[in-house]
Amino acid sequence: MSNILEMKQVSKSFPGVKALQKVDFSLEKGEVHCLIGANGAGKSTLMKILAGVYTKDEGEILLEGKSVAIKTPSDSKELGISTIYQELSLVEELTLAENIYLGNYLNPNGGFIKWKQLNEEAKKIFSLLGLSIAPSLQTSSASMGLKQMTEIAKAIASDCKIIVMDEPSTALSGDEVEKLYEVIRLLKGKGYTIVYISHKLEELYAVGDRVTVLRNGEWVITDRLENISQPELIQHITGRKIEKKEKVHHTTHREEFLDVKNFSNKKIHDVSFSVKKGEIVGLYGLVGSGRTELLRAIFGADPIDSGEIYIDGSKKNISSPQKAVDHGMGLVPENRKTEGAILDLSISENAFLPSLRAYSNRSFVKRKQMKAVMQEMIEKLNIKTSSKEVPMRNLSGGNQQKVIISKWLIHQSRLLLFDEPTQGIDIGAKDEIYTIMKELSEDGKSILMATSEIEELLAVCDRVLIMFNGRLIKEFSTPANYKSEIMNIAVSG
Amino acid sequence: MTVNIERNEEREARFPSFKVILKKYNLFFIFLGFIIIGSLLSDQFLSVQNILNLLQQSSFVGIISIGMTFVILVAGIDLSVGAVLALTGMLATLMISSGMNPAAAIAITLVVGAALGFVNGFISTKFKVPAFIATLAMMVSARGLAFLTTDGNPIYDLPPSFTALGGNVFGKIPLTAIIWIVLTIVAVIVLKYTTFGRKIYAVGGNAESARLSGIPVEKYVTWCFIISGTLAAVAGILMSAWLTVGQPTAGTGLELDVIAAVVLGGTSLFGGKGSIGGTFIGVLIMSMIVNIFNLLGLSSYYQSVFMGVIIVLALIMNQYISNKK
Repeated sequence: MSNILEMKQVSKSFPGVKALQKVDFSLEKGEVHCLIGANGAGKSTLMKILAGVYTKDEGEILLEGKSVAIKTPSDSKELGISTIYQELSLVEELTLAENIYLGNYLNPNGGFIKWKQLNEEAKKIFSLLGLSIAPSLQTSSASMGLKQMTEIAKAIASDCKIIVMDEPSTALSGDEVEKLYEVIRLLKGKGYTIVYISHKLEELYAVGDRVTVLRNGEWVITDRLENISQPELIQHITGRKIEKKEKVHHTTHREEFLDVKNFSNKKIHDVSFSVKKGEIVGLYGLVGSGRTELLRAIFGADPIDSGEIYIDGSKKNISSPQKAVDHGMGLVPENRKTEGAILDLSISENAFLPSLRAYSNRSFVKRKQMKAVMQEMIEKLNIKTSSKEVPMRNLSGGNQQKVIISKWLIHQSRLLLFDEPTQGIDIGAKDEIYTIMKELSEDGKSILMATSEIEELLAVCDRVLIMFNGRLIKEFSTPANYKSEIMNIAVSG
Repeated sequence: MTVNIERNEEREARFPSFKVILKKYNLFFIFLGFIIIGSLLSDQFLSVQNILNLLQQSSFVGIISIGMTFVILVAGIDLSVGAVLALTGMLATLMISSGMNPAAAIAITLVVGAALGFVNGFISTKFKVPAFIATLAMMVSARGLAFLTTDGNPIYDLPPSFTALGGNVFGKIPLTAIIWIVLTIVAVIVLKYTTFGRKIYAVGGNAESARLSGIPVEKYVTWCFIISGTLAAVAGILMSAWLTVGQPTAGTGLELDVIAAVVLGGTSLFGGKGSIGGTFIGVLIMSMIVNIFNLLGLSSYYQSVFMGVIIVLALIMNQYISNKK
């Protein structure tokens, strides 16, 4: 089969980091090509070079056999390459149709908008994708799945040949992911070439024809997916073997650390439960079931209307995150970039945010001592960074998450609240985060973790609480034996 | 591979290349450029007397710019500083001219400045009124109050014990300039080495992350407004001592000079990025432009036109250099 695109020996450096080293990547016309690798492996960099966001230092790009120069995003678009980023780029206040034709409104000369034509054309594209949707819907009221479809429609409207999808399934529900697969297969049938970036291996096998693995900025392997087993793939990604671990249950939990009684606010209703010292408790439920809201309420980030909270047996009034932190809690929030990290500050400054008082002398910070502790954390958590003073922005997602966890290790928090701790994180780093959690629990620290990944829940948690519509509806104390029940109850209530 | 990277970075840290220096200290090079231009255009530019004048004239904007840097670092803005300067200047001179001990009058005035700053902070954090609007309202009201104190009349008859604050020490070094420099050093230390300073950067960089790390964001934002109000009062007191008169029109439009100097100094209006050192140089660059025009005997109308052009050019150059690898 002929290659529609070839990237040959592409290299790219950023200050202090070789992001890509002589990487080869090629696409056959009409295939779904998966691109996978750990965070920081270089897949985003490679795709951003293709999209014209970055320019390559070395190498060559051939499109249909001809050498092309991609210097800006518009170069890329003109060559028929369309990229859909993980953070969707739709304008929320406009209609779906307007977003699809954003830029020229089907009317390159300007002037009045031909609404009827605009909506009809948009509708045609949606029906091409097998969807019947009113294109005049305002984007902000569309579901994530629909927004994703609109991005795809936008790509098609721009007359592209190659569509790059960067982790398209991240925010989608199970049904929406199925729909996405369908649309991808449909597009493939129509001759579009698709690059599919994802961390989730099942997804690759569900939609992909071939896969390319990158590791540390270098090409590792390109092969047809049917020739490569899942464990082999994991080994290529991480460079080492990962054994699947089953949770060993400690039944020696002692006294309770956290006791929540009758918690209620707008999003959660009459929730009561407790977490013992050294216990890992999972919170499972659909998106919108109130998991995040419960964690935020316990942490004092959102107000409660009624309810009591006991820590170590005594009643506490936790009306702000500040008080929660003072009482030994730490939150690893769902949105790393907007709630967890301060991207322009160094990793060391991020890590010491909650502990500045402890690491200061008459309010002057003790830099030397902080340096030593940070070094310890970098080694303990295997944070990949060239220095302690690197801005958080330059780290990959998994490493940012480790820095956020290190905040609470440094602060010696006794209860850690994790909200989707491994979302968008590669397999290697995921496994490391599970190990950290287990070590914490062996240390007698308590963990409450909200997750929507059932495998994660079964691998890590001692006990599972199921939430539905803001209520706690069921508890399983040996979760591994009840996988299908847990999933059923979470969906049906 | 990781090892090599570390070595490179260490080497970079020890022997930074010229490019790295140029990028990091580009503002300083722009500053040097202005000094060279000034000394070429006028023989008097680098004379001791002229440098002292320059420092004297910069000191009022300079002192207020320190407070403004704190406010802008937490992604706020304080439009009321010019009016607060006038109101506190009137208050101090009114109390002193009616016979109060200057030290007591100054203490009371500083508290009033802090209180006005607190009101700005309280309104913008508790009621979620954008700082732009809250301080705009304060600007209008404080200016009105400044006129009300004396029905718009200036206050003369100030004792030498007070006006000495606007004079010179050690022969001919202006006291206001010394106060500005000392306050600058204190602010540098606070922002760089204290927990308060580091939290300011955290709050400005990402308020939600800071809050979820247990930092009481509203409290720190309010403190920044208090610092800004207090320093506006310091400038108000010093300016009336220097002019030997309390004037309700003092500092009209000053807030814009201050904001321009802070932004010129590299502080981001989005918060979280910037430094007092940059602000110090930003203030000096603005004063130098005025100074060069004065030495050349050009009218203040030209000054205004060129000031605008030069600020924009300097910022464009700054952007260009810092984006270049």
